[in-house]
Amino acid sequence: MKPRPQFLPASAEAEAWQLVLPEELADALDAHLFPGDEDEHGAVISAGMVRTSRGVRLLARELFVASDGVDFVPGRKAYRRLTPQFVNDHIRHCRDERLVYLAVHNHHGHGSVGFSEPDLRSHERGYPALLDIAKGMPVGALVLAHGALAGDIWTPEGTRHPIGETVILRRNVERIYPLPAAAPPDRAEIDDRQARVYGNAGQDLLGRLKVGVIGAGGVGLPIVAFLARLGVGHLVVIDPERVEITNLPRLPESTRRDAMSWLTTPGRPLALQRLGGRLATPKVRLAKRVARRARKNSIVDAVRGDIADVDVAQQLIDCDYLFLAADTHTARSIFNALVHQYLVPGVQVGSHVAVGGDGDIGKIASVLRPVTPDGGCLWCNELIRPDKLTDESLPAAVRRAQRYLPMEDAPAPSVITLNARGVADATDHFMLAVTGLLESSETNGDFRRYETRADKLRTSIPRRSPDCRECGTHASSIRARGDGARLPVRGA
Amino acid sequence: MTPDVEKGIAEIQHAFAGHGVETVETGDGGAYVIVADLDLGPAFVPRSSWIGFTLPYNYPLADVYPHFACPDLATADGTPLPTPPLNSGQSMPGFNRPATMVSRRSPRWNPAHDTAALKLMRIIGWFAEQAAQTRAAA
Repeated sequence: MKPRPQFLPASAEAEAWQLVLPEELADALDAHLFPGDEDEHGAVISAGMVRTSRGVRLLARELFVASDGVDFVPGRKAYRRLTPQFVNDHIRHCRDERLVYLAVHNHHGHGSVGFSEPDLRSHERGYPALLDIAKGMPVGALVLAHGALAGDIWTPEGTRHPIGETVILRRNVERIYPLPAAAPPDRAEIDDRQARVYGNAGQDLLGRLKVGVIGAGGVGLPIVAFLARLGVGHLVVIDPERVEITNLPRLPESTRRDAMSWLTTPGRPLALQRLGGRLATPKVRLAKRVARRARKNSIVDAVRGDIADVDVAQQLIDCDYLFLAADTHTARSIFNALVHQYLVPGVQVGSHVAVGGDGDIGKIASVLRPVTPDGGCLWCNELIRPDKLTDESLPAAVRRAQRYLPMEDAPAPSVITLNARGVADATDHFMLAVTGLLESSETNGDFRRYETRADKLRTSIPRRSPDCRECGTHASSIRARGDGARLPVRGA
Repeated sequence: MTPDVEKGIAEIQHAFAGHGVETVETGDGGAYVIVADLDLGPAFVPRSSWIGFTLPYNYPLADVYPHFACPDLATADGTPLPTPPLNSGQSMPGFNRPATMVSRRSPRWNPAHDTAALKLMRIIGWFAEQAAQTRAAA
């Protein structure tokens, strides 16, 4: 039998992990632990995991409340305890599902919380045995007070980790800690005006965020510029393409040199045009240049690649927020999976110009669709077409060969000013949501479609389907499974 | 192949037991699949054909279409093939076989319930329905 590792006492030096709670689970937990009786209550949370160079995040997937007096009973060595049967049932469930077992109880007070000595002694007595049952998955405990959460996570490798930060994915993203957060540093002079909106804490938070932008074209590039000027500390920008001359009117700060226009102009020898195409600036490099001009110390990962490739999509799994600014159904599908599998909130943004068969311009619209784990997903709202996923998965030559009806290959019309509204709405939504400034939920829903020509704003409440394989809460959904499920990408 | 693609193929082998099932990997997680000796019903000659299709890397999120059948497929009554969905002069990807394409999208494809095996049954059902429609028209 493999010897048990020797566990060190929990210490401040251990690498802190992050916990992410979707809104509905957090609300249900809050209602169970704090019904107003000032007593202690218990529960178990199962959680997926994601490990990256940025650290470890636990992604809360299921809540199992312990009934008072049945599953959560008076203890001899502690005030209350979960019964062995309740623990046994749920540690085995977590083992079978490859999820992290987290025993939960509450203390009283506001803004700070920690485990008591009896709590820690019970971990030391019980968790080595639970790790044996969990067969390779970590186990741990969470303790909550009003507005505070602390954790003690034990790993099969013999390490113990506190929960340093808990992120609650409400409409306004909340962050709670074991102790009140230290006062943020004074804002830099450059941020004086904007930090007067969201405070030094908001500015400091923006600097610590990692935000992904899928697409660096006419929508994605201005988003990158806005995020950098807001002071977002780390940007991941993904796009496979290079700048072309027809992009220039919609790409701020791009130049003819980026498009190598003197080589690619029609009429030049084809070999020169192809050379120009190969020498043109990748859009992600332009995005990095734009971001660095805005904020020279920002970290920008310029990923020239296709989001459908596993090594590209993986760059987004530890982001704090995602912008989808690419309008393929494949990109929508992967974005939607990232939101639900890794609990990364995001927003889809874009603009659309309808063109009739006779070339007449129809409706012009900009769309904004915030997507959160509990908010209704792109699949549930029929915004991802399975037939388009099939088309987009085929090599171009096969796709061409399979066409037997005339298809429209003309590029879609696009104007920078039409993109601007969606860009501003999306970055506003992000900035207000992460700094806690959004007002209470729109009664008509957060999906927005602004029809520019008619000057009409239409909002809708996203639908949710309980059997959805991405946002559903059933056993086979990918929700909050983190590294325990596969993304719908090539080569995964 | 991804686990979902492997599962899709296993379901096809189970649902079409007794028919030969050939597969070729697409190289990105998907598979090209051919199921042999399927009865297309009396409206077509030859009445029996192989049917092929691709399970893309993102199956079952992605619809399974188009399908492909033998290249010499014709109607039993000599009328032209209904185009669409049938289109001759095509090639079955992955196997480089001349083929007749059967393009039947599923606008209501639901990844939670739909599978490649069910879709293949629907395609075979469509061929059978053509005989019923021919009889009704006569």
